[in-house]
Amino acid sequence: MTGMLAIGLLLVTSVLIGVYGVRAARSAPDFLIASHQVRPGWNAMAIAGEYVSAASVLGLAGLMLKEGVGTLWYAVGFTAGYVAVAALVAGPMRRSGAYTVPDFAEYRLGSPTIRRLCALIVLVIMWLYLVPQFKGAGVVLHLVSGTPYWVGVVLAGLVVSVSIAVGGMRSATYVQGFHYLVKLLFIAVPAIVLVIGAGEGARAEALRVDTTEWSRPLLDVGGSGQPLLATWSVLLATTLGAVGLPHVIMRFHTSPTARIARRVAVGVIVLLGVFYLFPAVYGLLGRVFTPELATTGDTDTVTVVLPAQIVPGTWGAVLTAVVAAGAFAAFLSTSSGLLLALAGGLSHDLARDGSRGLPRLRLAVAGGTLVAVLLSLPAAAVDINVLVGWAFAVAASTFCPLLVLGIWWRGLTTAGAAAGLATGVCAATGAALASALTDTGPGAVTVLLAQPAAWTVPLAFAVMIGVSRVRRWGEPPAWADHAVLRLHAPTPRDG
Amino acid sequence: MSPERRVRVTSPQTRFALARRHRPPHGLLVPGSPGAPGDGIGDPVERALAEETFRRQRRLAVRTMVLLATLLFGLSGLLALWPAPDPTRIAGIPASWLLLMTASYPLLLLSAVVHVRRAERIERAGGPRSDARAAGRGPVVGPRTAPDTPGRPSTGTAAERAPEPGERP
Repeated sequence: MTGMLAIGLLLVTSVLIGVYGVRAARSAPDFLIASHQVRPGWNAMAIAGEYVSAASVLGLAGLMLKEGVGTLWYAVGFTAGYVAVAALVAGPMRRSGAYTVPDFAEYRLGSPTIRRLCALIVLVIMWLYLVPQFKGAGVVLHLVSGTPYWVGVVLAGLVVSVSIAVGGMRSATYVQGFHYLVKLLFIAVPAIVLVIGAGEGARAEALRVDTTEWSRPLLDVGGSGQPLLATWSVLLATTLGAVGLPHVIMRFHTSPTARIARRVAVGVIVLLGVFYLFPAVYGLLGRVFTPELATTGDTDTVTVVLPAQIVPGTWGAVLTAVVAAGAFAAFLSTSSGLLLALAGGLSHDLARDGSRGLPRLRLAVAGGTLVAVLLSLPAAAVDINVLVGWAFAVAASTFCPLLVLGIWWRGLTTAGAAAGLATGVCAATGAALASALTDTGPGAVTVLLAQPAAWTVPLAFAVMIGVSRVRRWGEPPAWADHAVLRLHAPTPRDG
Repeated sequence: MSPERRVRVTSPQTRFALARRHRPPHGLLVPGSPGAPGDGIGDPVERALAEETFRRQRRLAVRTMVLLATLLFGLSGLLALWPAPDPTRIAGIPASWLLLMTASYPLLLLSAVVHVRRAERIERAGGPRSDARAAGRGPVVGPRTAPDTPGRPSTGTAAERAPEPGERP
């Protein structure tokens, strides 16, 4: 009951903050990027709030309980992504003036076909990313109130799509900033209480090192016996995936200048670094108090189940409620950003006439949510972090090469970009599907299918560069030189 | 083609500018399009400056990415070589776990901060318009605001002057 109350309070507060933001959302730029009017501090918090998803709040501890300490490499990669974002894309993307990745592709290469291809890839990535968020919502609501899984999924879909459809990015920014604080406090405070409450013996037990793979600080995928390869592939996917995630890129347009966009990226690293100190506590303590989850249950629930196991009675219920509300904040804010990018892709990039009307954007939000909810209903058994990892792998194998080459290399051609994007999205999703459907046993193949970034990212880069070099298939656009220099030339607004 | 199929043909840049209403466009505009603030890049001196800025930024970006790769692959490689049941402890926590949980974040932050500081320094050196804005500050930046000295290698002077306040590491 306390759990429902806490989640209800969180929802009401979010809606109130969202409504406050509505006043500003009058045009499509307001809706999509808040018309560059968001303060840097709020913006960094909103980016972190959007980025710290169910994968971080529930998935990390859950996968850690199942796979071992090495799961924390995901957190390192999620954070390292922002170093790459600050170094490679934040400033130039802001200066490009393009709202979305498909926008950027069209301005840089002047091809509407590329824009549509990009929009399709946006949909793939966003749905891959949304499904685990909704799954988390369903699982958490089931835990705290006993409602069936689908109720939580549908409820999360409703709340997110209504708040976004009404308020757009401006309201999303404030709601997400608020959600970062909620997530941090609601994960950190119970974590500290639990560490103290667990007692001396349990703490020592949680930190016990044994000879199993669990204690090895590397990521082993499905017992493949290739932990270093798997770790590197995950690091590549998460670090470069952040560069290519459409909703992350879109975020930098809420900064007034390129310089501030870059600084915001640095602020995000601080906020993420602080947050990621805490999920490990739940994974480690879960090893002692809820080991049965690893064999019988859904490990993604460990963060919510754990408090009641350690602290009995009313306080345990309160802690559970707090953690559940934090987890709910995670789905809400992440899904808000994802849905905005998805709606942008559906209405503004795939639309034939490039219409930017608000009604159409709102319709796209509803449509995008509906598909995500339908996809989430059968996904109850899939690990949150695995799905999010695939979304990152697809982004790293498609938009990362497109943006990096588009920003730093004048030789990119439309044919090269199209070939690289198609190769990247087919290879990454194909490998993920193959790994979900088949069992290849121990060995490198398992790793390369389950964590494909190690080969799909270099492949996509190579195809993009290689095909661009073939002059028979097209020349770089006439303005490529000018465009690339413009992306790096300081403007008065940067000062 | 029936009349209904007719579409309004505008360049994406125009559409983009229209969507922004009266906000001045500052996107990726094709050369020569009216109101493109980067138009100065057409001018040889400005262009050389922009080229120099781009090259320096690219060098910096490559350096930061190499550093990042060394950090991530290095730390994971180090942990792969760590003795298998970790015998070391720091404050009761296995040292390899502690490294994984905490070591990378400050290093990541440091590399990002260093990158951003350097990138901004390159921009200060290469920004003709930001210099014009700062022209009131003193005679140091004065000469740059007078672009009617075409013989002068503008990039060189900019690159030399910028680090003067003793910022070069």
